[in-house]
Amino acid sequence: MDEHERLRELVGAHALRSLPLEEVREVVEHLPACPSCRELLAELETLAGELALAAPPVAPPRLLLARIHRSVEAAPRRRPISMFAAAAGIVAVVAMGAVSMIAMQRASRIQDRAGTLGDAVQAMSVFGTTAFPLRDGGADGSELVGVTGPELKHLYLVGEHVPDPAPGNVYRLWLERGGDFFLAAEFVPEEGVVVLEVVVDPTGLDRLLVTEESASERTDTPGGVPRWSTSLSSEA
Amino acid sequence: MREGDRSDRELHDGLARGDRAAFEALYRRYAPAAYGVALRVTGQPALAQEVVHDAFLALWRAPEAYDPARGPFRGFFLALVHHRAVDTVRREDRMRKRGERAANLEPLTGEDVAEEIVDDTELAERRRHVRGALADLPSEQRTVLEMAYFGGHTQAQIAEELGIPVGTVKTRTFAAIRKLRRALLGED
Repeated sequence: MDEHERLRELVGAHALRSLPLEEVREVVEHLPACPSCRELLAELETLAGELALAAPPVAPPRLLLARIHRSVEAAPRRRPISMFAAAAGIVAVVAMGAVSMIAMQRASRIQDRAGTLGDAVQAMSVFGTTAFPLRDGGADGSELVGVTGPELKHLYLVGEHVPDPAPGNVYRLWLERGGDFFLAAEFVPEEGVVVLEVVVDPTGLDRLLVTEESASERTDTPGGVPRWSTSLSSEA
Repeated sequence: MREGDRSDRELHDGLARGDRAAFEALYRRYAPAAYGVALRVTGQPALAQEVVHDAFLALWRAPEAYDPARGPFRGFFLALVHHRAVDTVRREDRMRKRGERAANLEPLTGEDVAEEIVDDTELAERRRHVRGALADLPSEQRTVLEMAYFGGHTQAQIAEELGIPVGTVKTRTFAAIRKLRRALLGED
């Protein structure tokens, strides 16, 4: 079997989510240079969705839809983000919701920066990762780590000991590409912990910037106070 | 036109415009399949509910994550649910309970155990097709595929559990994928 055939096998297993981290990394590193494997992965992701139909359908609890509606109400779609996202090539911004609490709880136990990164990667099953700590402009001991995710289209922001913003303020995550900034997420920490998932192609991103801004004021460029930042030019 | 009569594409278009009725129609169409696969993978109703909740919430908040050029909505969404389910069980490090989960679940190729579920005609037909394609796989290929997909096992874990080399697991998995791809997507 030649090397490319071996990688195609890995792509297939990756679509089933059955690869360990080191092999996912191989896939992720291979995909950008291989259109045929990218096409294969797209097909097999569809196949992976179809296979779900083999499981017996089960009526979810009746209260689940009501709960989803409540979550939708509590976290409405951010129209300005969608607008900026289209311009930036950002596909989506997803707050991870209740499941992320599991990761948050794990993240809160992390003892050091390396441990933070390792556990964040493991906890969130972010494969093929590149990690980059964000420099803390406030020097208050808080830590934020960005992690790129599977197939080079996810970016996670994980942090602990992150202080609450001032009343009426929120944190905003901005992505800089070619001198333009795009708003990717708006968040406040929960008990000092931040776990955000941004679905975005990180290729070509130059910088991540987190600002503290007024929740009621929206602009199309970073405002307020810069809090954390990192250059991605060498990692992306 | 009733919401239930609209195509996935029409409902997704509505969803992208913020149409809550379209969102709810997609929920009613796919929640049983989503909950079914999430329950199968996680083995725990509470975790399965979290997976389905988060998947639908993600869909609502970022409908543009689905690109119609990459295939049908159903495949996109159910893959999202499956991947979240696998990620969830791995996060929870519940590997030691896998055997217990598997023992408690119905055979995949059998009849549905949830009689109250009524698939629309297309979905029911597709379900039969998928199950038929799985049933047609050689048993050793079907075993590794189901352990990976529904068990959330890595290939190394499958190899250890079955007592076979990892290379054999890889070969069987890809052979199964190739056959399923041909049967379900019409690709070689």
